[in-house]
Amino acid sequence: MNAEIIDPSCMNDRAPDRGSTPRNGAEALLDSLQQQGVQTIFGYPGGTIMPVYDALTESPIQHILTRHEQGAAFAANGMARVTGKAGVCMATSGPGATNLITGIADAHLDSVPLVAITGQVPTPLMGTDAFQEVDIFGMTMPVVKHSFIARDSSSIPSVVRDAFHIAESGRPGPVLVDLPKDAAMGHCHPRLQPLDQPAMDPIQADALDQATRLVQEARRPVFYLGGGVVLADAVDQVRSMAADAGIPIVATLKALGTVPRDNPDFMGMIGMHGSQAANLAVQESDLLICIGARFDDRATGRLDEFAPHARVLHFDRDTAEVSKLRQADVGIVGCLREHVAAFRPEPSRLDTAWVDRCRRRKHEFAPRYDAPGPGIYGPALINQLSRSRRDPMIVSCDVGQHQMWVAQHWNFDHPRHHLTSGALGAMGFGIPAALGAKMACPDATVVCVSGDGSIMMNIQELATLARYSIDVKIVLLDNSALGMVRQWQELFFEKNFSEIDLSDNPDFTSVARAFGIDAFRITEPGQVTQGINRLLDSDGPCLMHVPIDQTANVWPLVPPGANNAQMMEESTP
Amino acid sequence: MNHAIELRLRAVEGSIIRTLGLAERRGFKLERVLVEQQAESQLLHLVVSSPMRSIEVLTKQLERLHDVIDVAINIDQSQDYSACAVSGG
Repeated sequence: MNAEIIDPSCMNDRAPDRGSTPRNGAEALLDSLQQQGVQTIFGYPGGTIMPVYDALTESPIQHILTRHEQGAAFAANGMARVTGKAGVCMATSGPGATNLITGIADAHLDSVPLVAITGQVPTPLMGTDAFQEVDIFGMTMPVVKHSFIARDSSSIPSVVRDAFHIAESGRPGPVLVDLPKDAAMGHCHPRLQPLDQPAMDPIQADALDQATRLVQEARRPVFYLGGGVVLADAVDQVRSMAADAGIPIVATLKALGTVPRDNPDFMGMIGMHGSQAANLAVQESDLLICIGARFDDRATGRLDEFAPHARVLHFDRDTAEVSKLRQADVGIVGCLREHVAAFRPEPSRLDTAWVDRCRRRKHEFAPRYDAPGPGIYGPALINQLSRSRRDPMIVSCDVGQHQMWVAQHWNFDHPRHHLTSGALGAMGFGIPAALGAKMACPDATVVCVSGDGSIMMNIQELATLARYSIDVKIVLLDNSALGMVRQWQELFFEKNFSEIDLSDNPDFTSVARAFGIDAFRITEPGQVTQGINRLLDSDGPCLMHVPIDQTANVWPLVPPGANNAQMMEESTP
Repeated sequence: MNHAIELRLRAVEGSIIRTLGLAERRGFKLERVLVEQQAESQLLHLVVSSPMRSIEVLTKQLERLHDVIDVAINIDQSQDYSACAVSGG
């Protein structure tokens, strides 16, 4: 080690002499976060981030100590999903920073605004393999919208401001701010450059005219709604437009709740576990009006056979999504809210017999809730729970069969009330995301639907719920297996069940109680109503443990490699 | 098929590796790379190839990087980058 390049003062772990020293970088960081309107940070302290935790005791910002950094990232992610504002998580260097990555990647793939702050070893030690040093700036580069290393204390205010601007503007996403310890402890003389205000996107009037003509020529147009509708806060505009148009509507996982499930034109979710009515409407359409969706493989099935007869009209905020996977006949790039508000589709050649057929199919393929076995049927419980209306009600899912059942059977009222790890599919998302949502919306009923595999991925966050009395209601559907993997092994790997058995699960009610969370179990269909009421009426966080049949699968299903018209139903051999 | 791209980048930490990493992750092989440091920016000359992916889509993906000021494709390909490795000015 070259002693000449190491400034011993940067290794100083002592707290600054408050009152006599000028403001340091850590204080400037917290001030800057406050200026951005941040009221809550989710995080976990450690060596290099200690200057910030030292300053935190004097800050009005509330810090929620999660029990794992991944929990902090998902909690900030959940808060951001319900508010549309950047959530903030914080961790120390090394393992603290790497533990954030899954939550950052989730935000990246689902376009969630997030600012992740990581401590870093002092700048003279960077690149020397110092204790708890990792190149988190480099490691996260593929999964962030942007990232900074704030090497200079005086740059911190402008870095924070830019980080929030980038995270929240355009297509949102995560921004990493790596903060070396010497920058956090150094004197800060802010140099705040004015922020370049991007020009407002002009309305693309010519493209809108072309779009209008496409709709006029179409006989079987379908609205294909994606998560971009929510990111642009264009839900009201889309609802208004769709109400006037009278043509079938389908949604991706991320857009569920944009249109109420009981709207006769709403065919449901498309894709692998979508509804027959939605998938068939798309396959038969001659014009896809794609609004903020990205032709993801789970939505399209076999891409070259997706909507084979359709022209494509694609509205998106992100120009890189238009014609990425499916060539658009007309692409309209810019603010979705403004463009949808200015777009009045008039399908004058509409094939009304086809629209009627679509509507009939919706009823023909409507979900059934008569349980196939004697035990509690997960989809029926989820549907009943979602109709136990306690407005507003937010549902956070983990990942697996229960996640798809929520998507298929929950009665959503708004897409921001559905928190699901859509693109990353990260088990362990549910509890911390629900925690963040409840912090943001204390008046809402927040329910986490989890599975026995997923809940173990971040079960330590039960301690966070208990510590802060965060009133999250947990429904644990327990089939003693990794159910979705089991389903695929059953269907596509000749029932060669490999490493999916979780029959030695702990007693989850005892686990919850050990964390200080009220918990109970229901085992019979006749207990469901009482169980839901007990859960929702409980005082504080509560877990309802629901053992279910392992052979209850998610139906329908588009098998891998098939097109969306080739859906398997339960009776399919 | 090879495509020549010229990018003007902000002269900030990570901008070059961020740009190169994106091109590789999106399925393009980096055939040639040349970096020229300028007063307040960096010029990155790339020649990339991909049997599968669209250069137009890659260009749009590069444009949305915060550090990318502008991108031009199909520039003059007569310039000889064959002897160039990654180098700073």
